Amino acid sequence: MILSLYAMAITSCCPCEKPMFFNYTNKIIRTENIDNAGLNPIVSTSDSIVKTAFGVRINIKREKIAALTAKKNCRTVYATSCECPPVIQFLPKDSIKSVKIFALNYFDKSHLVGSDISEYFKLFEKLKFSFENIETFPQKLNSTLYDESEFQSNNDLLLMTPPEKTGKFIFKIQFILSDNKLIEFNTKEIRLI
Amino acid sequence: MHYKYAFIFIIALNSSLFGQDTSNLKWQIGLNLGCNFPLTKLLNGEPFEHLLYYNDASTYWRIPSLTYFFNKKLGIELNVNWSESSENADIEARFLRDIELKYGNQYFTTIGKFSFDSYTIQRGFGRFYLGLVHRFEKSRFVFDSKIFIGVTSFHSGNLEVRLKEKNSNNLYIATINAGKIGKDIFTTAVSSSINYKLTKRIYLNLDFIISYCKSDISYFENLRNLSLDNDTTTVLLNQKKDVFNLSVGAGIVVPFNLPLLK
Repeated sequence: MILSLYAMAITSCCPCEKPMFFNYTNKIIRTENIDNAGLNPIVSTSDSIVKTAFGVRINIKREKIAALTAKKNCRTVYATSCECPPVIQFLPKDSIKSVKIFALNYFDKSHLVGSDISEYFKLFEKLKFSFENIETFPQKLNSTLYDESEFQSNNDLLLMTPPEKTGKFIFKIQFILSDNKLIEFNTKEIRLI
Repeated sequence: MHYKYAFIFIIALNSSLFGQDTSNLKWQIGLNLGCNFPLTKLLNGEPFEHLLYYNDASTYWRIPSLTYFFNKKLGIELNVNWSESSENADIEARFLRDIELKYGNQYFTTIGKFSFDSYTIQRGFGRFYLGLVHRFEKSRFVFDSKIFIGVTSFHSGNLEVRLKEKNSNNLYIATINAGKIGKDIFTTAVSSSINYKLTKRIYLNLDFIISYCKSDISYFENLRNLSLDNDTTTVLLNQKKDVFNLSVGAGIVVPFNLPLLK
């Protein structure tokens, strides 16, 4: 008797509002050169940046598209807690599989013209005051969002290993989508000093 | 070395007063306000010392002392001198200034996390004593000489400072860690107090305590390089010092008898 009551209790539904699901798509992706010589990285208006303080900012604007069918509105009760899911959730339609950065100029002995130098960049998490490896960046871009205010994001990828020599540089940012489609952007030419 | 002579002087002063008439009231409580004068200092001015809730020169108040006399001359006393310092309120700002001096040329500095307790009582520090009292009375004067053991007790904080290297993408986190938050340092003290009998039940009190403790404070300063997979270098900061302090205070003493414990 007690066991069956307990079983009922842990499988009963919470009185949660029915969540609505939407898809979003990454609408505008723009890249900017950033200068991180100061306390915080800023978009550079200059034609030169100190090579040890260079980075690329990737601006992403998302757009809400089709609403999806609501999933089953039931959350089980565990002990006395009842956690409802967020009422609105935005799921990525076109997920990004990987992000790569190429140097279109000679970078160093092991990275000649056109080489993949993604490993030299790290994702800067300003609020956490930490770095993430660039491999985690797609995961961040494909995350479920809960508010339209999260639709715009600026992501700073900082160059942790500077080029061997100073000079003019252009970097190519390549996004590979889940359907293997490529989206590529070149940064503005910048003199790294 | 001359502080040792001060110890001897206080003991000799009290010894010369032995052998006189005493009161028949077995208990007394004392309330006292005073100042701590450092004869030797615990603090050297190192930045990490701002994480210690301790000041060499400070005011104190006695959260009443309690004395019980076994007989007319000898007793036992419990004594707590609690100190507050207005400087402690400014501790974070002072620490930031020192950090800025240390790292400011090469880095932008911002405070990450302070682990200070926000409770006022933990921003002060205390000297807790237990010891023997010898009493001597002459007309309206009562002279007490005391010898104590106890602890000098204070809190300390841990700190995280965020460092952004200038002209670079490199980030560091400097943490200064005291390990144990509470510090209790074994302390010995000798004391002499002069009481003037205003009435049979209220004495005016002038009190001198010379205390000694050997500080042994360790701090770890870790510098974590976030750009190099959290590569960490650690520096141990250790401080051992002989600390002598003179406390001078004034207040009142109230002798009494507990009916059931006569």
